[in-house]
Amino acid sequence: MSKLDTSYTEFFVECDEILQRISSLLTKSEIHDLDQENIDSLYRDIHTLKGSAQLFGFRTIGLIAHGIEATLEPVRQKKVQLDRTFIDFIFKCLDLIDKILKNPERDLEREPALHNEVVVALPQLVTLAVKKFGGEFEFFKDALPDESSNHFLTKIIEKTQDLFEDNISSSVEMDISEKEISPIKLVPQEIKIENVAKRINTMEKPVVEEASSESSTIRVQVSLLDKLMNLVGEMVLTRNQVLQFAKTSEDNEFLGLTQRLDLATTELQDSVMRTRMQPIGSIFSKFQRVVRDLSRDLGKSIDLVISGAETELDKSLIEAIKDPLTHIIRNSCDHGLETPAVRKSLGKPEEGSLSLRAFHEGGQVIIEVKDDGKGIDPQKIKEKAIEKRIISPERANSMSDKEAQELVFAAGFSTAEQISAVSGRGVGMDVVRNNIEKVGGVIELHSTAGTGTTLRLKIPLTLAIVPVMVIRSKNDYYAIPQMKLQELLRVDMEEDVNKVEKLQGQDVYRLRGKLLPLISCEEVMHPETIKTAKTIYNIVVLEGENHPYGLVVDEICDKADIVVKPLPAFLKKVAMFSGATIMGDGTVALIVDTQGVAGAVKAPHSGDGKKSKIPPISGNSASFIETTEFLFFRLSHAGIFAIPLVLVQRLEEFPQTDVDYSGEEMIVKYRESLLPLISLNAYFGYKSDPKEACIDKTTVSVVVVSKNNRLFGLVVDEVVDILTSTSDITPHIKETRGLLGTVIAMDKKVITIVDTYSIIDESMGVPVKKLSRSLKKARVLFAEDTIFFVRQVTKVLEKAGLEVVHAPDGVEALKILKKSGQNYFDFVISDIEMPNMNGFQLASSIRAEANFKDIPIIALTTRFSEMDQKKGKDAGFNKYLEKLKSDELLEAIDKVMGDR
Amino acid sequence: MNTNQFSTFMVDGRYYGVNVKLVQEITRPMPITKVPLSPVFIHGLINLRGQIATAVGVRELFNLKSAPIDESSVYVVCKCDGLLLSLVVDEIADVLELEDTDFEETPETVKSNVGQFMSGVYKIQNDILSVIDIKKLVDFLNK
Repeated sequence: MSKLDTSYTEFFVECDEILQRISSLLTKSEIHDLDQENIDSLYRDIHTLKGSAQLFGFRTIGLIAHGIEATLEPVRQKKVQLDRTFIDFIFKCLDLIDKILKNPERDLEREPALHNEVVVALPQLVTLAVKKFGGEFEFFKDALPDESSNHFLTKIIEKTQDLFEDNISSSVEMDISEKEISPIKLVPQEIKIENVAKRINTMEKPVVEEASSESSTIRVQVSLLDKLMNLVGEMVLTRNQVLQFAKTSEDNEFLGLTQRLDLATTELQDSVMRTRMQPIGSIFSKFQRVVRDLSRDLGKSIDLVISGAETELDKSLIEAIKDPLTHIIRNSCDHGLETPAVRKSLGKPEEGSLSLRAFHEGGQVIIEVKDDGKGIDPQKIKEKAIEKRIISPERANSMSDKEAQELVFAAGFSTAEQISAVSGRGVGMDVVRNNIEKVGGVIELHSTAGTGTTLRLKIPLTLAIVPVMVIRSKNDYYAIPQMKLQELLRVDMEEDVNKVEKLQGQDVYRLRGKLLPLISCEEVMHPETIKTAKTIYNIVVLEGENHPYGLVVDEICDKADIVVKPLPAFLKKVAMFSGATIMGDGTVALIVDTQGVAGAVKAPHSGDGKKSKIPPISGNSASFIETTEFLFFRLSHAGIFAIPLVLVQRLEEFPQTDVDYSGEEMIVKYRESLLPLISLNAYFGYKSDPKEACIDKTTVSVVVVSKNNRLFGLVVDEVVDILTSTSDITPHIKETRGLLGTVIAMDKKVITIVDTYSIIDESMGVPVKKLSRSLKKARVLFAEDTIFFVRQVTKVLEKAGLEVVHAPDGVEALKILKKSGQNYFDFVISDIEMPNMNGFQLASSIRAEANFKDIPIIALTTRFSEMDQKKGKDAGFNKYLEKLKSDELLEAIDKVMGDR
Repeated sequence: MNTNQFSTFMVDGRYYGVNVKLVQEITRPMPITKVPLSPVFIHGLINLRGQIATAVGVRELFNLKSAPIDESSVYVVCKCDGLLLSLVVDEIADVLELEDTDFEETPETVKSNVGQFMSGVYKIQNDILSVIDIKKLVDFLNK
């Protein structure tokens, strides 16, 4: 029904437009002659009118239009000139068409007067025209080849013929009695019109009336609306300023006026916004066709139910969501709904149901696409994701079903087993999500395997005016879009049971049993500020890229509707802001880009911010984890920490009395030399004084680690255990001194990993090797299978300014190298012991490629015997280095790069 | 004879000018909103009757010593490529009408910290006016 309405409404609107265009053209022609272009466009319009009228069953209109078209033909061919009498006749014809269109019944049977008019006027027109312009009557007759049974139309034709033959050119008397055009005769051909009329009359909205009251709509340039919108934006701002000012005033009259201004402005804003609004039905109706075609192509039976087509959205937003929505619907039809046979076997109705619903909710428009198909099977998604290297098998195991389903939004994901013609053409759900987010929207997925999938798009009503929450940090005010805001929290450190806790210097808060990482707005905006403890935390919970996070602000001020002003391009580099706006007091406030803020605090070494051209295997994507063994130890009150076991040389207990001090440095005699001791408690600044901790006991627990052939002792309070963890090291949101990240131990506890080498370097006062001055911006391919070394080396290299692409083994490394072409990588670093293809094989394979026979290759290994070194040289390695000697590595890189 | 009008001002005791066609207005310093993490020469954003302009410190841009904003400081608001830039200068001077015959290319000895923003110089009585090319400035910002 809705489709029918829309189609007819469109037809009427189109007719109106055409009639208007023709009228204005003809009026113009009365002043001066029309040029060929005008006549062509006139002809085209009439032709279109004829076509669509006949298509929609308005035969009379079709005939009239045909009449005009026929008579215009000689004019178009420049055989004759348009003259005044002729134009008058066209006008009369147009009037006839207009009358038929405006007649609510559109049923000539009930309008004898109109009917008669047509029967009289049309033959006149045609006769006149044909007479005047010569012998084209056949052309007119041709219009109705099989209309012999239509008495009404035949009558017209006959009449015309008579007129034509009688040579009568004017004032033809009407001689058809009303009897002759009795309803019965008309019914067979006019039945359609009658039906239409009935249907139209049953419509909720009297569309017909709308069409008949001429001035109900006007067409306006979108640019004018845009300008209007901007002006209203300015006005809203001024209103806000006035209101702000009114707060300080005690003048009652003034207050009254501001209130009225406030109301009027709000209403004006609302109305102007509505001028840009369009019912979403304008795109919904297109989906009928899409779904019909798809169901035919796919051999599926799909019932599309549309509701809320009248829901209105800003025009630009409608344009913006059209493609993503089409994609979602295609996906549902293609991947979601099963074939009838499958559905039958599952006990579902053979006809799949797809519902498309739009409605308002909380100042947003929600568009819901729901199917009752097979849903998203988390297991299948995981398998696919592992196969596509989007996640690691370990990560997949620890994923919840919901998380797994969200993987469909990951870049480079497509679930269709076979790429069909319908979907799976490279544009995936990631693009859909991007496009929705671009207009400030949000996309949510709910799916139950077996019973169906629901996708919800939350779209803001309009782009120009955005509801925000204003927050204060120090003396600066920022605006946060309400769309991205989940909730507001206030945590009183003295009174609340649930407090902000520290996870290795990072604030976290338990929000309904889940850890919510906190980001201090002040620290993000002004990294140089010194952290201060707070008693009250005002937290704005925001949507991050994947997880929510809490932004700690000094004050949550107020809600406001703001007008977004774009930032100049060169400020877009500061990714934390999406725009600016002018506040009530006239000052400028920045609009926070919630994802940008989350991105800004990410640890630089996590590599997430760096773009690699081979996304799934990029940087230390943390995807290729193996079980790593960790040594767990306790540090006074701070809890359990861990060191990767690969770094640990030995565990020692020294009698307290053996510990000596050389200056500030703690040392102990160990294996014929002195072992420098580093107290981790002291390093991290934990309360318990190292000396006190030592005094308590008679012995000191020391973890002996080696770095660059030197041994160092890390003093801990107690060595707890050695445990294996399958989980990957999660880097901290923010880079913290001395810490590498966290890992989940067997008992699900979160353990913090200490960054052994940085601690040693820092404690020993070793300056960070700054080779970056001589290291050109280079790209390195790094083949290594152990995740710990991947992370360690990547960190060293990235610190030195190199771009690192990681490969989990030799086979993969070779693949990446070949794929990326000759000059993409500047050099290769490879482990020796790797699965599938070891370092020696990799090196010789690279050398065998003509493109890469000169690329520097550096071996990084624990196999460091002389024989191994020789073997390495033979295989084609330029340098052969022992693992975990970052200084030597950087030096070697410097050298091989310099040699090139 | 072809002439061009220049709005002239002082920065660090030196004499500069911009083509008056590009100058939208000249204002006293106004409340400014700093943009965290932006380059030092971006003073921040100002509200110019509902339009947002970016205040660019000419001293910082030229790598000169920063100076506090005081009563004589002036914002020279320029419009270029739809971008509103507000140059923060020490002191405003006259609008001069200068003849093309007095124009010369920037001498090569002018240091690049300023030279890269100049389109040339005008020889005037008692002084030489350095003409700042707003387009070059915008290109630099967008770089």
